[in-house]
Amino acid sequence: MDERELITRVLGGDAAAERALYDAHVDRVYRLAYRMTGEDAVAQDCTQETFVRAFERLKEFRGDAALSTWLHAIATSVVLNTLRKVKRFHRREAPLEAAAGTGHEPARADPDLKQRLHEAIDGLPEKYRMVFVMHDVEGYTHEEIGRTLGVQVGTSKAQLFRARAKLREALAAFAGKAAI
Amino acid sequence: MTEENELDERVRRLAAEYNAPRDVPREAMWARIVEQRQGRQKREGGRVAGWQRPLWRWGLAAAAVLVVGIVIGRATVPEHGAIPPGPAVTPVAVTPTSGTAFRLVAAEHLDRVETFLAVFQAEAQRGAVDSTAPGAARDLLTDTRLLADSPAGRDPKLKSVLDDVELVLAQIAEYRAGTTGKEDLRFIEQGIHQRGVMLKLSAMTPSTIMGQTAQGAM
Repeated sequence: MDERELITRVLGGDAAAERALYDAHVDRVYRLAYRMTGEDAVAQDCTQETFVRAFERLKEFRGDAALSTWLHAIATSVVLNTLRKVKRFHRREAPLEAAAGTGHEPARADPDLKQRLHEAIDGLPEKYRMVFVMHDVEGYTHEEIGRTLGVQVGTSKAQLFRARAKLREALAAFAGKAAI
Repeated sequence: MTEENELDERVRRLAAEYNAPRDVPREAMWARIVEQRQGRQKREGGRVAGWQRPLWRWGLAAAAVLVVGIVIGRATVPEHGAIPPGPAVTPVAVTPTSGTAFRLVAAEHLDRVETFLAVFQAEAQRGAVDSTAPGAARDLLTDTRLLADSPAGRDPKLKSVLDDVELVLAQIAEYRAGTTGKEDLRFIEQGIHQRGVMLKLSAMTPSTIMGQTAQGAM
């Protein structure tokens, strides 16, 4: 069944088509939500809300972009809103400087690099973090990211460049250490 | 490979482990999605019935009250008293009764507006305003304006509340979720709060409104 037919059937109230649509996209939506929130319960909430909204608004889907792009646009909006609401419960508020340390600390072993990297990613501004996670972690293209976040491809590339630069800065103390 | 490139490569490899997802709990999430959608649909059904009752029903209600008023009026006329000829009595009897009917309609309308605004405020606080809210506000706005121009609008207190409600409903009717949506919601919230709309609506109980009629008639 192609996407257009699936959408038509969902709009016609076909429960099996609804489930098929969900099955086709839920993994990627949940993965992105989990990568961004780091908590299973919050990722589940975001995923649920994404699909509830998608089913409610499916009649507004014009088909200008792929359904997966449209769904991911909803998902990223839900995730970013959720993160804003629950950020006090997360350690994401720790400023990047804190994660980066002073920059004069002695280099540590690679397990520390991993921890420091994850803290540094946590410390990125949310939009940079979203682009970094989508591109470097989940493998989305800049075109997909641009359409999903509603930004130009150039903006996505620029944000990824800045995100990587901040991470490099935060991890400068590890440069030149043996590869793991 | 330079030290920087080497670090980039290690970062890329380690980033793959960043918040690495577990198995996707498909069935559990699907069950909750189904449950949540059914819950929303039920609430939607209730909301439509409550807010969007068409105006012709008001007309029927007004007509019913008018008939009841006339019947009561006739029943309470003293039998021994001199009954003035029909044409002379009719305008005096009908005018206050019509006002009463419109006030009753206004009371019912303000009750619906209060429910709508309470739900809207709760949704706005959660940042999840229902997409049907602007449409419902437009319907309520139309009825508010009709009532403000009706005999009910001659009462200064009632007119003042209808004016406040009109302003707030007009804002909600124009609300569009999007880039400025959050700012608009804050504006609407401010409007409701500054005008004390919810307090005024709470005070406008049917008995208060009908009591004003009695006082006005005296």
